[in-house]
Amino acid sequence: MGGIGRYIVQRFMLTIPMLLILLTLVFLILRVMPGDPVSAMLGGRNISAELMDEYRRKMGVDRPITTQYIEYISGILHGDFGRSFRTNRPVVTELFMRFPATLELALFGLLFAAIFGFGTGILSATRVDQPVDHIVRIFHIGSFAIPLFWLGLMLQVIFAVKLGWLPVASRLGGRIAFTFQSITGFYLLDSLLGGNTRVIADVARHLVLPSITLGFAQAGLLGRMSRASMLEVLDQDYVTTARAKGLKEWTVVMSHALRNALIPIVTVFGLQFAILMGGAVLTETVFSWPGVASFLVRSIEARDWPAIQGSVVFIAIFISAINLIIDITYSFIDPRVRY
Amino acid sequence: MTRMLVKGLDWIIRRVTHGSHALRKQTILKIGLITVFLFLFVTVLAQYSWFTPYDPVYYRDAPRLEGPSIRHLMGTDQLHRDVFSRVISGGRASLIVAFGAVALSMSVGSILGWISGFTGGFLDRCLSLVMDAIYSFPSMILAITLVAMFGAGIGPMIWAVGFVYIPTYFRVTRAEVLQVREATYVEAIRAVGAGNARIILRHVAPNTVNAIMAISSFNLADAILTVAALSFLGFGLPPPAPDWGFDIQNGQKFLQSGSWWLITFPGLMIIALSLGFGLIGEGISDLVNPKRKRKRV
Amino acid sequence: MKRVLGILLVIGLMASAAVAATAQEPLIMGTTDRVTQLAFANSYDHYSWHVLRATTDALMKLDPVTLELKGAIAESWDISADGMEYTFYIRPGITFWDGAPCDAAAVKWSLDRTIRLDGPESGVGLIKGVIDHIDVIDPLTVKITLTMPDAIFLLRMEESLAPALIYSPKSTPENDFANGVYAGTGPYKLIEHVPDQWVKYEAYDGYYGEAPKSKFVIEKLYSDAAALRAAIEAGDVDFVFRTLSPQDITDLANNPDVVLKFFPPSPGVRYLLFNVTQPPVDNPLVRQAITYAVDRGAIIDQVFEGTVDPIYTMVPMVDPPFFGAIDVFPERDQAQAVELLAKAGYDADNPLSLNLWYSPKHYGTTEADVATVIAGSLEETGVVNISIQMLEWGAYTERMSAGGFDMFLLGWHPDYLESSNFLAPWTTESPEGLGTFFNEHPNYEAYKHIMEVATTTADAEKRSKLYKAIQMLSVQDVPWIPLWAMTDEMVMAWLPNVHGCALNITMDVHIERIWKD
Repeated sequence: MGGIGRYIVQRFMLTIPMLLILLTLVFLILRVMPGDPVSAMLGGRNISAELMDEYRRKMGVDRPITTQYIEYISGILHGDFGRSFRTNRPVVTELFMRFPATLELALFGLLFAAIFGFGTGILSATRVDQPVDHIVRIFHIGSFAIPLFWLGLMLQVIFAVKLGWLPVASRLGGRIAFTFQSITGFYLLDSLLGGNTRVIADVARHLVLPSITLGFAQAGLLGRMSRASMLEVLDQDYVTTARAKGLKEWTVVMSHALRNALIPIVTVFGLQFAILMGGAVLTETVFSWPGVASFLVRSIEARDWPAIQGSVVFIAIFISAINLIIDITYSFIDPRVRY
Repeated sequence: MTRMLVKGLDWIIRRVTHGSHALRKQTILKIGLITVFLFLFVTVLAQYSWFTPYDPVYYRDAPRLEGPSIRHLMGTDQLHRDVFSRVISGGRASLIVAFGAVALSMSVGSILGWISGFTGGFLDRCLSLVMDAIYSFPSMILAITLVAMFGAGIGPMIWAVGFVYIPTYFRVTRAEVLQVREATYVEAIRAVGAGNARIILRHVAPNTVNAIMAISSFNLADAILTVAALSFLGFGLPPPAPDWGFDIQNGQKFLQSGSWWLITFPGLMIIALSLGFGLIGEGISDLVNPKRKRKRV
Repeated sequence: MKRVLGILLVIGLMASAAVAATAQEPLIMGTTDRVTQLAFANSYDHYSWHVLRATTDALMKLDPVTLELKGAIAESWDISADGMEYTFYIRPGITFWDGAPCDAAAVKWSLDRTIRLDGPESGVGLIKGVIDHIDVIDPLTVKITLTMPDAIFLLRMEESLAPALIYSPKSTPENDFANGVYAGTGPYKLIEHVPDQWVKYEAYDGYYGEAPKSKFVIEKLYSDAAALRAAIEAGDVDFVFRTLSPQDITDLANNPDVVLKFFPPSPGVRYLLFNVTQPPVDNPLVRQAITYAVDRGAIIDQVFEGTVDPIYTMVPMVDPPFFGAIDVFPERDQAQAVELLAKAGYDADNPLSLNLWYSPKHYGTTEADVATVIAGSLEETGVVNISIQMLEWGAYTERMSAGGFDMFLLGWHPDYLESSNFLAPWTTESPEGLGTFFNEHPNYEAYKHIMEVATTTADAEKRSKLYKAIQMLSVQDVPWIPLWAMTDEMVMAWLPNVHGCALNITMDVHIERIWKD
């Protein structure tokens, strides 16, 4: 127990400098931005010099860079990410309104990646060098080369426009939006709580194409890894023993091999999240998904400087937290990772 | 034409590998190399107007939004331009940015890795932490933010895309330096009086070259996708120059009217090129790491 | 596990029963617009103003059908002989949806507050400079004293201008822009605005005017034209307004399940601008040559598929409320363009090189094509080299006001319905903010003088002549080149069971007049 406790503390202590470095990087990158945030905010309106100075003071960009840095860090510590120019709301509020949408999408993307990736990986590992294996391997290698936005558009045109099976975009159909009450921000959860089957079906249908789009590249990667890991495990003595005992191949794979094959793969889940957040930018754009990533893109377009900074900081903190949680969870599963 | 290309490639590979048998047998690597060379070849030629069947930028005599036909192999777009001409010349920016970004990150990352590995101590720890921090951050979001800050253009895009890959090279080089530093033969060389620079050139560089080649191929594959994504989101180069990502964004407007050819062909080009780089990476990894080859049950 | 499911099911049934009790099929609008801020003193965009307008009124309004200027919150009004004092008599019995009475004190309070706060993102400047002070005469009478006579003051007090809207002192914070925190007079109450997703309204029972035709309305926000078009085709929304792409308009017009209608003419204009201090376009010959070289026909056919109309002056051809409009800019004439450029010293060996700036998303999905076609038409002369440049809207306006453009694209929707709003902004009102830097032009004083006389002249005939003079001058000085009117924005598409969809030159939809079977 002492070992685990020490590991958690250690891992946590490592997160702090890491986060500080990320925040500093964000600060540095955004401060080299050409142009003046005040005139960006005014967007072409002419105002008097005094008014300009007043806005400058209000935004705190008239002070020396070190003071700004200290205020920036202490602001984040207090949960203050600044105020958006466009909406005049705290950036934190804006982000929390949109975060559940992104998280819901990421989780379902990951779910798709896991099911599809493990499925194809095991399938091809159990049929090595058969045609199925070749097809699956081509898919695994090819999946990373497909531009996510292109895949999204293709799925849209085939399954939504041509076949009409699924909605083109957005999180919710227009017909049910008026009575829909969101409590958690996770619409599938909300609709399950609401219990109305029509609403549940509508929300689920809207999730399908974006989740596939976001999870597709990850599915290929997980598939490759699970195939390799499965092959390794199937070669081990205990599997051979199990086979020798006369157990069915299916039972061997499922009960003996799978569990051991999965352990190394679970580790990559943390890294997947960072990639998923990047993919979310494109998925949210293609599917009108009102999440954090599309908020960032809109903020960039409007040069909404506090919103850009706030969103990037928010994503940095989120990624660090996810990595921390996954590492700690993993240390419980596999004691070998502990230092 | 293709046969000559294959022969030429074979020759290059034989020269590079001093006739190593294992390498010549790498079909994956070969397919990848052929694909990439074809793309480079076509993209360079397409910058000359005699190579493209029609003017990819201003051409008005073709029909508007017509599907693929003999005259226009990949159809035409809404401004009466030939999609085939645009598609074969649309890789210029992607290739320049991809190669530029990888060259940038490779040099910066490797040099930092060497410095970090040889110096050790506080600097090493700081640099490693910074690199880990960059590495953990979603590269797509980082690239978009950087491009938004620097502004559009080839140069800024190289910086933005390249910045993201620095940590990978840093890690590989640093690990190799640490390994070499511990090796007894290096102690011996050092004892003879060789400096750090000499050790890097004669002992670290050759050992990292394979790994770095594999990584840069994968990074090139990723960079092609990132550049396309940036153009798709509208953070790429301005029109009217042909560009796959931009053309896909444009084609999106006409998708529901049934003009599938506007996005399909540029998309396939991106996939083919990115896959080409990816296969090169695969091939090199297989060579470096023969254990990775599949096992029979 | 089973027990949990059972509980969920029970909760679900209860919830769905509750939903069924209040359910009345709402009217659903689809749009690609976004709310920036629901703040009277800190927003200046079409859709935020639309929401504010749907939920509260101003002193005046335009009749949606006849466009006649009528009283809204004001029942009647007097104008003093010198045109300096406007006395408004407020309709008795008006209440805001928070229960507070809408009286003279509320009118004074909200106008004063809007002018005092004058946020950085606002259009308060449209009323701020003209109003000197506001007095409450008695509970239902308010007197506004102007800083100078203003021929169009009643138009400035009309609901098209969000800064002129009246809101409740009870619900709106005194010294904060207060995004979304307010109460209005109706016709609708704002129920919920979820950013990037929807705005929900419910009819306000206490509205003093005609009750809205639909009790519940939801406006669903889509991120692009493609999604919007898919939504109406799938029957996911009842009607769509702003902004379908030209291709989608053409396709929907051929779709038997959807009704699509244009409501021309459009008072929204698109044009090229020049920074008259920036070489090479500081040379009037160059600017004049471009007026001959630019190909409106190509833009309209290739980019817009005929969904927009060409224009040859800035003032919309809609009389009234705009008067004095006169087609002054020439048709395309390449020979003339080449000749003018030769006079300016440019030929095939020494071509004119300049930039064309545009912003990719602010004006819908077509802007890149517009830039490409314009550049193509200029280069067709054989003596011009264009390099197209783009910036996202935020950076675009920043660079524009800093004088960093030579030739660039911009668009204009009227703030108030009078001709000066289409002539003054780029020449005399904010030449630097809008990037023309016309205040450094030798003829600036002349424009300024004409404009000052025009806006203080009550006689429409005289004013019209002065506006004509400015338009005629503008062909010589070329601060702008009018290109097309945004007829593609004056289009709505709806399902066959929807009624009352209409647009007028205020360019906004009156959701309270729409209903479905």
